[in-house]
Amino acid sequence: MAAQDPNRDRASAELLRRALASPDGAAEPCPDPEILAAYAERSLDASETAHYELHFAQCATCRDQLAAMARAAAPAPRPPRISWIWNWGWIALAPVTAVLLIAAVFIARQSREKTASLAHVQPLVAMSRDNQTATYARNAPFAAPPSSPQSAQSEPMLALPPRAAHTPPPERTSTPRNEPALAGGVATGAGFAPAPAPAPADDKKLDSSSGQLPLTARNYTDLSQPQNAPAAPAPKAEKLRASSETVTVESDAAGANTEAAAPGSLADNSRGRVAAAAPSALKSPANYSAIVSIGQVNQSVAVESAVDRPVRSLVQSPDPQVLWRISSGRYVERSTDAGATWHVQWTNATANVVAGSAPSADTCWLVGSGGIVLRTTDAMKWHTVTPPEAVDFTAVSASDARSATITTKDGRQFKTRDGGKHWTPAP
Amino acid sequence: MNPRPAQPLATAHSRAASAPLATAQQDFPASSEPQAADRALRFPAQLVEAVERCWRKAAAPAEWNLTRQEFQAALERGVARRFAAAAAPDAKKIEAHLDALHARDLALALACANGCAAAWDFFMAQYRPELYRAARAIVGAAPGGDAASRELADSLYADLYGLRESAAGRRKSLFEYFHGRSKLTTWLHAVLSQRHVDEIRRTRASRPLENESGEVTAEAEISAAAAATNVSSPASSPAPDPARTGYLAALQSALAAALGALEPRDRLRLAYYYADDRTLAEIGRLLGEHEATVSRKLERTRRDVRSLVEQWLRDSKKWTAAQVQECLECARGEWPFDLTSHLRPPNAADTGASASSMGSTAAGRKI
Repeated sequence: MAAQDPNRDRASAELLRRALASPDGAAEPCPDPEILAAYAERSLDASETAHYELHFAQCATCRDQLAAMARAAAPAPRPPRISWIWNWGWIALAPVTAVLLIAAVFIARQSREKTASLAHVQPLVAMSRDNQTATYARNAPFAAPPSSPQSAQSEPMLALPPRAAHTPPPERTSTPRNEPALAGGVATGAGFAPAPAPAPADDKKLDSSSGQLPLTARNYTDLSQPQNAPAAPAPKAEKLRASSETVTVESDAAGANTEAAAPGSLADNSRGRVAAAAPSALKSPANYSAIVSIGQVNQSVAVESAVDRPVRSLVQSPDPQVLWRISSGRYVERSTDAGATWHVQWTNATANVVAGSAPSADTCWLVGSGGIVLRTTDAMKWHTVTPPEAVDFTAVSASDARSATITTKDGRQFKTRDGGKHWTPAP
Repeated sequence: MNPRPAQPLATAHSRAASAPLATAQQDFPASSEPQAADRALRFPAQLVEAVERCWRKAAAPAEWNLTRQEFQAALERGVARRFAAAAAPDAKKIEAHLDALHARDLALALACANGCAAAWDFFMAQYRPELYRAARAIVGAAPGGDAASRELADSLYADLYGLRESAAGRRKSLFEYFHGRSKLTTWLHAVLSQRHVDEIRRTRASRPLENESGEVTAEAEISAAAAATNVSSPASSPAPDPARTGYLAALQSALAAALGALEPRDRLRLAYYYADDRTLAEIGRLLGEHEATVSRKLERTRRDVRSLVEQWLRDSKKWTAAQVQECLECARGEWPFDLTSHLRPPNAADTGASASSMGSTAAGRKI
């Protein structure tokens, strides 16, 4: 009858609380300060200790006094470190921990080698399946894995989790919801800074990169890449620094490197990190092989993970605290505290937004399939922008509220300088 | 032939020390054994060496004007206090006790109690800052804490000096309650803590006390809240069902029995956790254990309590496993509320009567 049942535990806790608070005794008078002092110094002998502890167990007054004394003892008496070390439990854990650490390092190294040859991806918007859980873009998770640029690439997990509901179209070119050509990653300034790459297999990471990426391509988000985020991506604008590349996921047949228009997200200026999120949602790796490439950088990242991930993509703004998030292509959320809390901004049950770009904390452009182009300039209201053509757009790179470049699924680009009223094809 | 220390020459009080206690000036700590502890005790001859060792350890400076006889008398008082319960304390134990004393601190306390100026200067220099710091730490960061802590420390300081008159008109210093079993610093912390806690309880005691023992505890607050909730949502609790009441009452007894069967330390740990709502880290500090150990032991104790309860219900009540299960089921959900309404009534009258008490379970406690 071990209490596995949480209800039972709660009931037990209440029972205990009640029973302990109504002592059947404590009829014995409370001991003097002298005894309390001797007890606190552990200089009572065994029988005295037992005797007084019994009293204390029944007497809240004495317990309060002991607690006050503990406060008064300035450097709170902690169990001596040495005894902590010698605590058998810890001794048993130590080797296990060591083994795990070594294994983790080893694995990281392995995957790093594997992807060493792959092009470096600078995905900007990671598409990941949305699962509403806040395991997102927090600082902490990113702080964890310090990895070299290489290992960052091994974060294919970051790539997109296949969307369960979606059946991945056989060829990549079709655009299932999360088809992505984008890399979403988000490099958050503050949050991601420390962490180079969203730990691939780690849930906490940017779900942005979930997704099953095609086996051969590596989509990935590499946060640590100031150095990697090569200038290559040739940020179209200053702000776009690392994230100006867009990642296009193509079928393995194509294998072409396409340079998509700007990035869905802006990397953190200070770090130039880009969280690359692999193209999203490939349902099963077997069906796809995608090569994600980024403009000049021309890297591709193989997707290794076949784990389902929530489909989300993050759009980073120049302000490290402000993030947008595209969930399931259907709704957009915004965070002003680096991902701790999110507020829904836009929803449309039939839409499929796949990428975004936020040139400022209040301005964001979004594009998606079926010619969806959206823009907000005040972080509150979203306006539909008439696209040049009603085709599927896969990427956007915006330098401000008026200027943006969007990329279609088949690689063409259009630019606008007047907030989307007029578009011109970009060569 | 087992040498025994000389029996107390008389049971007469060696001092008027007990009198002030009866006047219940709360500033003086109540003695746990008001009368017996003060009976005179003389050390037998074989303890002379131990006493000598202690005296040398004390190394009281000459300007403190402390005589060896006074010191020995103090030692004897301490021993009497500690071994009061034992009819004839073993010489070895006394010797061990003497050797473990903080002789220097005892000498200082004694000299201060005597009113020696040099000793007081020494005390002020060494301990006054510590006193204020500790008071600050005890009172905490609450607003007005600075003033409260200064007041706490000042009142203690005044009592240490013996500014208050005892009932017998004799200046009495709080130092007389220090017998060297701990460091003087720790003892000062204890006294400060005691005063602080009593002050807190006194100011809180104006609220009706729920607890049958008359103490305002966290539990009492919870039950107050619970009772309020219960009253406001009668629909949530089912009509008192005699079977259910019976179950809960049995559970209460079973719990009491189970707790009684625990080791004192385990019980104390439970009390810290459930009755005081302390964190694992705090409990670890209080018990000298690591946080992880605390957690582990709490879990084990909970399991033990559970199995003890079930065993008790099976053995004492002769219930079947199914009945035990049903009983525990009753405890879910609305347990605290039900219990409040079903089991409290007999106690309500008592708590009502004792509501004005200052919340001390100890008969000998001040106020």
